[in-house]
Amino acid sequence: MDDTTKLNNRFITALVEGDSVIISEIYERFFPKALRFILQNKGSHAQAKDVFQESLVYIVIGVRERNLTIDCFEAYLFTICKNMWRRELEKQKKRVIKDNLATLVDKDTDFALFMLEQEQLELYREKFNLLSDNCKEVLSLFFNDTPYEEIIEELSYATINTARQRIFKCKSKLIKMIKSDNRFKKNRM
Amino acid sequence: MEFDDMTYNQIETYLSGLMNDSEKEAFELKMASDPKLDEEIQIHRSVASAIGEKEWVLQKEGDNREEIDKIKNLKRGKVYSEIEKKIQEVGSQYSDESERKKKNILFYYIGAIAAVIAILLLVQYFDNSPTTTETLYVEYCDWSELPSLVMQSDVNNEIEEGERLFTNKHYEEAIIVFSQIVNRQAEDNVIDNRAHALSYLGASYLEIGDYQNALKTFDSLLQKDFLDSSKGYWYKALVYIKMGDKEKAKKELLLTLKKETNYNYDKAKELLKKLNF
Repeated sequence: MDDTTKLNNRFITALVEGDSVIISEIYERFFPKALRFILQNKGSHAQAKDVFQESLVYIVIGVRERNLTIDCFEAYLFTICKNMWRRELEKQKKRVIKDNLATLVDKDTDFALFMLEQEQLELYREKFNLLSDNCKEVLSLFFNDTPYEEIIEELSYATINTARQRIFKCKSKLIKMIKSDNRFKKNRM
Repeated sequence: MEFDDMTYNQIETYLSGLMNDSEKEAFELKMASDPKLDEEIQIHRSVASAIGEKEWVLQKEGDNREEIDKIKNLKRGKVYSEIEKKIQEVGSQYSDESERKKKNILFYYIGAIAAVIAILLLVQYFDNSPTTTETLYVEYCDWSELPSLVMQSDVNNEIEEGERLFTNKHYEEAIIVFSQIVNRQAEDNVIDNRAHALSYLGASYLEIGDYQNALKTFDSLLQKDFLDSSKGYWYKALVYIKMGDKEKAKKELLLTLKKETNYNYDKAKELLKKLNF
């Protein structure tokens, strides 16, 4: 077992067993970064605390009940805090325009919805990583709103149409891989 | 593939926001009557969000009731609700502890400042030399005079958060909060709390020793037609005093003395005398 795995296990075991000393170490080491991110993105101290706590619960349930494996505890915890907050901001935005998706639901339903959405996101990224380097490159540019003119220049495609076809092919391949995975169906049935 | 090329083209055009209003309306009608198409678009959107870190895509509740209930029941079950309780408990202890540490540091600083003042006063007593700008800064800089906009029923968390951070001397964080308020109000052209936010912002810059930004902030306070924009002169004088620049401080104080209704008119008179001493 390498050092990172040992450290991951140490934190997760502490959370499961309710080891106050190590849980408070988790706060000391990782809370300030999450707090800073949330304060910089229209959040308050209390909201940051809430998100951080929910993220820790997320990790415990994920690892113990939903086959979650974590490479680096610190990075993963921050990703969950960040995504939980991104979701909250999206909900607030939807609430302002009175979108049906943002009807008020209880906290635990919200947590469950987030978990399913996060698992989908991880599935998408996992499948994306299985694509060829060329597909990954062109889709990264495309999904980050790079104009076609720049894409053909960067990847030396002959015409915009060639780029369009390439993107279409790669995207179809990605979506096909996603759809044929059992986890995709499970979360959507 | 489940759709023809034309539909895929339409999906692309729709998602890139390139459809005109009538095309968009027709396509959304088609989506509403075709759940498969609707789902396909949802996937395209989610994939774009996952790879390109775009806005979060909220899933519809109801598509996956069973999984939602499963997770909800786990979280509410005995095992995980106890774990959650423990996490919250340690979280509260952590907050109390960090408040306590900050207070200790604060007491330490207050103690240190008191000692410095005592020494300065002693030196002055024996030496009878002219007042230094440092002692004047300590004597005249009183941030408790800053107005508070927080009321008990206040829903504006942002202002409350900012004032709290300032009072607790978390100036760097207070700067983030008040800059956001100021920038947003500048965009929306709202002037409600702008003078209030600018005062706190400038004071925070001054406290961390970022004099240039402090001066810039107080300048914007002066430029606007705020009820109490004359505060800008007084605060700028404080900045110069903290910087040790007596001449520039005097200039600001003279500007305050132009009008009796200006902020801290009497104090400015008094301070100017001491600076000239």
